[in-house]
Amino acid sequence: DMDIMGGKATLSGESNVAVQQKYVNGSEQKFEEYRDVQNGVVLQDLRLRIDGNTIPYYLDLKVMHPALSDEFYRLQGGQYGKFGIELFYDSIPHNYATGTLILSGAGTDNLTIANQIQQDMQANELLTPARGTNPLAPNPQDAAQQAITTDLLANTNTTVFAFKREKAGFSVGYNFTDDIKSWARVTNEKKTGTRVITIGDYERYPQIPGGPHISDLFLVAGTELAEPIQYRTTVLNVGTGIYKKEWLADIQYTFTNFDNEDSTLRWDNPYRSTSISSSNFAGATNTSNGDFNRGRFTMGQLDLVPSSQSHDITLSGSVELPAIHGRFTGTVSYGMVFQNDSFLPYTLNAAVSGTNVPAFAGPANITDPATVLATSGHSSLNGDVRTITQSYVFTCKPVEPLTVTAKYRYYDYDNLSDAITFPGYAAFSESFWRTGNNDPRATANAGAPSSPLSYTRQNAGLVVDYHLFKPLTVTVEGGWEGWDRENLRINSTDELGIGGGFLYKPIKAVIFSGRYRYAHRTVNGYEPGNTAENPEAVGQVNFDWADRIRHRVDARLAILPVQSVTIGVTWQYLKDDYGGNNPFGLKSSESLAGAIDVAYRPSDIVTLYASYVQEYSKGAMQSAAKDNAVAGQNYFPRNFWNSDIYDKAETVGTGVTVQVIPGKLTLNTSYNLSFTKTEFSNTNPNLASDTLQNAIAQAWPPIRNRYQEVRVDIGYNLTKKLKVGVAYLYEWYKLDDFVNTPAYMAGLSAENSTKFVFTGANQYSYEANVAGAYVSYTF
Amino acid sequence: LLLVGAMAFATDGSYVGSEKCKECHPDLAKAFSTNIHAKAGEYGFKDAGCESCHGPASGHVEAGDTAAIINPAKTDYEAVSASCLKCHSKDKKQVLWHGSIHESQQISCVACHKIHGGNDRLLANKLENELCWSCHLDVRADMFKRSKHPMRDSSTPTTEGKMTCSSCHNPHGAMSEKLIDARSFNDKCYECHAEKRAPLLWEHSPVKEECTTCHSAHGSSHNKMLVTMVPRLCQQCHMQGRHQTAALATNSVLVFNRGCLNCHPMVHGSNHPSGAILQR
Repeated sequence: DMDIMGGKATLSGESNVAVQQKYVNGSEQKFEEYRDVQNGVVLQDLRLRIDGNTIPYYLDLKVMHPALSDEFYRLQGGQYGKFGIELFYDSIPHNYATGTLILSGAGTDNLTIANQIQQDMQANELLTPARGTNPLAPNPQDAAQQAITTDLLANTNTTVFAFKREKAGFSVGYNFTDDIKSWARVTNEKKTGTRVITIGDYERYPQIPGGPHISDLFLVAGTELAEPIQYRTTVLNVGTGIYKKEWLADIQYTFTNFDNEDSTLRWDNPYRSTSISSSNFAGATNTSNGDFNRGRFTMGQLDLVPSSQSHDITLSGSVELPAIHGRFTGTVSYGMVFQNDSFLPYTLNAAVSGTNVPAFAGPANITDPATVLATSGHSSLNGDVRTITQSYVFTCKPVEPLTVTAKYRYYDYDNLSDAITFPGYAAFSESFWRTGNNDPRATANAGAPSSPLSYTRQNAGLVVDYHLFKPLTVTVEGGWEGWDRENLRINSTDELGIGGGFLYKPIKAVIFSGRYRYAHRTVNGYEPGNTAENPEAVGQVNFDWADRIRHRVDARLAILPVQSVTIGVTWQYLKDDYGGNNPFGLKSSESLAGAIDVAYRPSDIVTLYASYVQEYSKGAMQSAAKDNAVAGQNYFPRNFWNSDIYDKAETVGTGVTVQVIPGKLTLNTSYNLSFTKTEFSNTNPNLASDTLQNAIAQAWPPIRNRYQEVRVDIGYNLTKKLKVGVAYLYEWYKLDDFVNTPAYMAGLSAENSTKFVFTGANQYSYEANVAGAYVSYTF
Repeated sequence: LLLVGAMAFATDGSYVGSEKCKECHPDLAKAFSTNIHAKAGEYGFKDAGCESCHGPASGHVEAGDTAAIINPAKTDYEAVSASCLKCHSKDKKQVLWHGSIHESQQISCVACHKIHGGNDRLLANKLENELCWSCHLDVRADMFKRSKHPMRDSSTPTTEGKMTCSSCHNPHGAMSEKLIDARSFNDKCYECHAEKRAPLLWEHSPVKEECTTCHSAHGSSHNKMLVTMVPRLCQQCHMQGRHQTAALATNSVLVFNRGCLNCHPMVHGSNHPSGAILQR
C-alpha cells in the first residue's frame, strides 16, 4: 500500500505478467474450451485500488487476460455509503472442435453447395423399388455417391466450431439515506459463432414387398450443419428499497430483450439438384400417398430460436419478529414473456404440393408463409407466458433450544400462447406431407395441434431443529411438492416427504452430521398410453412425472485429531424407484458419492493435502420393441429389453506447498486425476429367434473419460513486493466414446448412411504442456 | 461506545475504543484501514470499531491476555453469526441466513470470510470456488469431467474461471431449493441461456419445467452436461414410434454421433410450423 494525494488515499494493487509457451497434441479446442492460452507475453492480471483515507471515495480496477479471447475488465468506483458505479466487459470463449463442413457459408444463415455436386449426386440416386430385396446390399450408385462424398470431404477445409460471449455492463447504485437505496443496471451480451446442428432425413424401404408395415427398413440421410449463433441479450434492471435492521422492502423491475439476428438456417441438400414429390410404388402395403422416396428435395430450412422479450416485477420484504426471535421474508413476482416471430413457410420444397398434400383443398403455394396463415389462421405464435412467483420463509427461535423454519413457494407458469392446429407438416424438409403428429389419430387426418404447456408448482416445508443437549442437535423435517399441469398427459403430482437428522459436536475438533429423508410422489390423472392424449406406449411413464419413492441419506464428518491435521468425510446416497407397476421407462436410479479430504501441516513451512472422491450411479430402464402382430397390442413380453447404465467416477487430488526458504522460496505443486467410466448392460432374456430384431439386446462398449493435471509453481520473493517464478502445467485428456464417429459413415451403419454426412467435429482428446515464467508485483 | 454488533457476545469489561487498539497493533490497524469494515461509519454504523467484533477490550488491554479478548474464529458459530448480522441483516443477500442449510450445519460467517483478509468480499480463499469445494468435493470432482461450466479457477494464465459458485447460488440462503439465487432453476439458467426462455410453437415439456431433468448443472461424464447418454436418455420417456423402442446397435444412426438429435435437433423446442416432432 502507498499513500497518495498527500495521504488522503491509499493506492494498492498487484500485477502478474507471464511469458509462456504451449505444446498441444490433439484437440486444441478442448484444451482451450473456455480459455485462451497464448504463447508469448501475457498480462495475467492487473489490480489497482484507490481507497480514500480522509476522503470517502474509492476506485477499483480489475483486468484479466487483456487482448485475449477470455479478457475481463471491471472498473468500480464511488463514495462509501453513498453511491457506486461499475463498468465491466467480460469475454468467454466456448471452443468445441474442428470438423469438416462440405457446405459453404459457415457462420451465415445460408449453407450452399455447388450445383454440379448436387447434379452428380442425383445422377447416382437409387430409388426404393430399384434397390431390390436387400436395400443394404452394395450397388454401383451408392458406391458412386460415396466416392463423390469422400472426395469432397478430403478436399474441404476444416471448420472450427466455436462461439464467444462478450458481455458488457454498467450499473449504478445510489443511497438516498443510510436506509434507502436504489440501483440501475444494464448489460448487453453478444454471443457469436457456430456450433454443429444436424438435420436428418430418411427413406422408407419395404424389406418384404407386400409384407407387413413393420418390416419396412430405413435408409438414413442428412447433413451435419453449422448453426450460426448471432444472439444479443440486453437486460435492464432497476430497483429501489428501504433496508432497515428491523425490516426491509424493495421493488425491482427487469426487462430482457433477446434478439437472434440469424433466426433461420437454409441449407442445400447435397444429394439433390431438383425437388420431386415423394412416391409410392406397386406392392407397398402402406398405401398412404408418397410414403416412400421422400428425400428428393433440394433445400431445407431450420427455424432457429426466435427473438423474445420478457418483463419481471418483483416485490420483496422481510421483517424481524423480536418477540419470538424470528424473521419473516416474502417475495412476490410477476413476469411476462413474449415471442412473436413470424412463421416460416411449411417448407421450401415446392414439390410438396398437389396430390401429395391431401389436406389442402385446391392449389396452394406450400413455400409461401401465407399458406401457413391460410391453413392454420396464424402467421405467428403470439407467444405469451405469464409467471407468478410467491415465496415465503418464516424462521424463529421461540425458545433457546428450538429453531423452526417454514417455507412456501408458488410458481405459476401460465402459457397463453395460441393453440394452433396445422393441417399437416413437411418434416425434415422432405417431399412428403404428414397429416398427424405421430399420434393414433393420424389416420383420421387430425392434423398437427400445438399445445401450450402450463404448470403450477408449489413447495411447502417445515424444519425443526432442537438442541437436545449442548453438543447434539436433532432435526425433523417434512415437506410437500405439488405440480399441476395443463395440456400434458398428466394432471398433477403430489410428493410428501419426511426426514430427520442430527448434528453432533462432542468437542470442538469433531463435528458429525447425518440426515435421512423419505419422499413419495403420487400421480393423478396420468392418461393411459396409446391414446390421442398420450400416444406413448401403455405402461410407459416419464420418470419426471412418475410415481416415485425416494430415499436420501447425507452424512458429514469433520475431525481435527491434532492441530496440524484436518480430515473431512462426506457421504451421499440417493435411491429413486419410479413408475410403480408400470413396466416401461426409467425404473430406478441410484447414486452414491463418497469423499475424503485430508490436510496436514506438519510445520509452518509445509502443507500437504489430498482428496479422493468416488461416485457411482446406476440407472435401470425397461422398454419393448414395438410390434403390431396383433391389432391394438404393440408390446409383448418377448420384446421387452432392459438397459442398466452404470456411471463410475474417481477423482484424486493432491498437493503440497513448501516454503523451501521461508518467506523467500516457495514450491507449490498439485496433481489431479479424474477417471470416469460409463458401462451399459443391455439385456433381453428371451431367445433372439423369439423376438423382433429391434428387441435383441446389443452390447455397447464402455465410455471412458480420463483427465490428468499437474501444476508446478516455484516462486521466489525478491522483495516483499516483487516475486518471480516459473510455472509448468501438464494436462492430458482422453475420451473413448464409441458414438464419436468419422465424418462419413457410408455403408457402415445399420441404416445405410450413404447419404448422411457429419462433420467429424467430435475429437476431444489432447495432451498439453505449458511452461512459463512470471513476475508478480504487489503494492 | 462501540456497541454495534458486540451485544452478541457475552463478555465482561468495558469498551476502550479502536484508537487504543492501534497502540499495540499498528500494522494490523494500517492493513485494516482499507478494509470495507473500516468504512462502516459511511454505511450508517457510526460507532463501529474493533470491539464491534472483538467485544469489550478493557480486560485484554489491562492484562495483555489473548484469552481476555474475543476471537470470533474460535467462538460459538451462533454468536459469531449473530454479531455479523447485527449489521448485515440490512443486506438483502443475508436475510435468509437463519434457517438456511449452512446455518443448520453450524457454519459461521468466519468459516468462509476472513474479516482481516484482503480478498474480494473478504473470502477466506482468494478463489471463491476453491473455498466452496473445500467442503463440496463432489462438485470439485465435476470440474474435471467431460462437460462442465467454465468454473476452474482463474489464478493463472492457463486457467478458465469465468463462473463462480455464487453465479448461481446464494450461500447465505435463498428462496429456491439448492440455494439457487433465482425464482426457479430455469430462471437461473435463462440468465445466461436467454434463448431458452421464450414459449415455442412445439414445446418439449421437461425443457420448460426443469432443465435439470436432462442436464447436470455442475458437470457430467456425458456430452452437453447430460445426466445420461443419448439415446437412452430419450428412450427413458419415449416409446411412441418403432424406432424409439429399439434396443439399438452401436452402428445405428439413432446411437452414433448425436443419436436421436441427428434427426431431432430442436430438442429444446421448435417454432417451425413443420417442426412438430422437434426436427426443424
